[in-house]
Amino acid sequence: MALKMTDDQLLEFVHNNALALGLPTEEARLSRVATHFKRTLTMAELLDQVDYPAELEIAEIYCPKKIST
Amino acid sequence: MNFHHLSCTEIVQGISKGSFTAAQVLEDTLARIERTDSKINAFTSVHHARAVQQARSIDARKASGALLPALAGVPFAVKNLFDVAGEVTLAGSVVNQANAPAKEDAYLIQQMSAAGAVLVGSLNMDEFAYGFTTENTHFGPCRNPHDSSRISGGSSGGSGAAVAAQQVPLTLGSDTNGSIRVPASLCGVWGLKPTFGRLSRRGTFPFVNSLDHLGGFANSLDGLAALYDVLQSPDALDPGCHVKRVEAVTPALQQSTKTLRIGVLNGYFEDNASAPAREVVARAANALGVHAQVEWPDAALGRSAAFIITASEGGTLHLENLRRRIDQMEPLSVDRFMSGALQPAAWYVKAQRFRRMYRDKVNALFQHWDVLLAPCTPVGAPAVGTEWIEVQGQTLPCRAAMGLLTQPISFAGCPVVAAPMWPSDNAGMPLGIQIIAAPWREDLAFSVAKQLEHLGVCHLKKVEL
Repeated sequence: MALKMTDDQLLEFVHNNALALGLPTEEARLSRVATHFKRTLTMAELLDQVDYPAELEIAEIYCPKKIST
Repeated sequence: MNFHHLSCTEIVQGISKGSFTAAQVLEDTLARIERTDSKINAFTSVHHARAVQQARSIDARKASGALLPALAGVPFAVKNLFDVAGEVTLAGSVVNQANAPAKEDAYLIQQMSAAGAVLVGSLNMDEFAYGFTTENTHFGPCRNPHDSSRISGGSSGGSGAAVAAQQVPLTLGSDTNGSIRVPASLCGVWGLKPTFGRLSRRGTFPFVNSLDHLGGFANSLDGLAALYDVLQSPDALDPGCHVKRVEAVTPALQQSTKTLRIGVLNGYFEDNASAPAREVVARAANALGVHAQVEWPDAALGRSAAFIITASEGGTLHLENLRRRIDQMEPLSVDRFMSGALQPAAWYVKAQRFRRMYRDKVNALFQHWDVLLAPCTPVGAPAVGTEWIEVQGQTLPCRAAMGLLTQPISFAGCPVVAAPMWPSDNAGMPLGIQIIAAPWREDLAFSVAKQLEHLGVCHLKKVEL
């Protein structure tokens, strides 16, 4: 996983990203947002460990296929 | 005369035979809501005039000798993210109060009205459907009818609670990651999350386009099947509606389950389940004579990918609200929306690529199984305001963890009947099971649900309000 940040770096990332998107940047809120972001980062790290073949496309507007039994 | 304990089948038959009228049923329904909702807070609005008109129309049809439609005179209510003509679609938010009223009913409400059902109101929910608890700060928490100190579950909490409180026999809700199955479990009622793409979502306020499903709740399994059959219809105007024809499940209620290959999900679904949650699944399995243990592929990864897609699409959908009206948004979810908006695109794309692999693995599993069982929720209903829950030595954030067992299933798009059960050691509170089938095989889930109802394993309990 490319993102191996300290808590301070993570807060800085959240702050800068919020600025880029024109979102509020008051300190107390950013700290709470960073807590959520860190939780999601753990999940992203899990997904990053999967081997993705180059030809694997994203799911389209999702349609479960009928199975033949 | 009291009608609020009747199933929708009993209401339809009673009106059809002339035992009572749709107007009488409606009068009792509105009185019940008036009498009980201060304790539950399931309803955010009651559509009195419209309901009276619809009930009169049914009685006029009956008086004329015309054949009555499938849900004639059955009262129902909808999660307040469904458009109701002339009403503002709140989606649980005060931010939406400034929006113009809806010009027409949501597609599924149109289906219900065509079948003679009577819309009586709109229901409480988590703001913009981002939550599993319906602790709505602006409209107040929706309380569990079996113990008003506890949550109803969410995000379709009003939909689950209104059925459990015997306010209406049928409700509609939505389920992105578990928002029908969680409240069905915690309120002890029947719930259905159909296959992704089965029911049209037109005329509802979206949350996560890639994952949003609509479905319903009922006080009887027969009622749930009748509801589902009425809701089905191809809809070319919803790009997420994939069906070409109606596949009615009511006949499936008569089918034998003897030849079905049924298993119990282990691993992730045991590890994240409390003792009461494991107990109800074991009881259902024993009743069915099922012993096979089955491992669902990549459940933790599926949940992670669903979580990331939800946060990213949800956060992006509400970017303007986050920029301009953040202080009006729900304090319990606004920071999660903002966190989602900030996620790197690489996380989202990877989650969507993973989903394609995941679908194939889940479909491969269903080559060997017809129906799989798992708990709906890790625990029964916690108290309103609970921040953390304990599950097998793990301390988990309550508001996110209530969807631990539902997210991997809906991420694959599989249909689920949520069946009401009552663990022996759960303070008298319900905890439901998921009856899961392969995509597009709702009929199999209904067959097994019927067998469990027949065996007396799954049922509602009356509440005193």
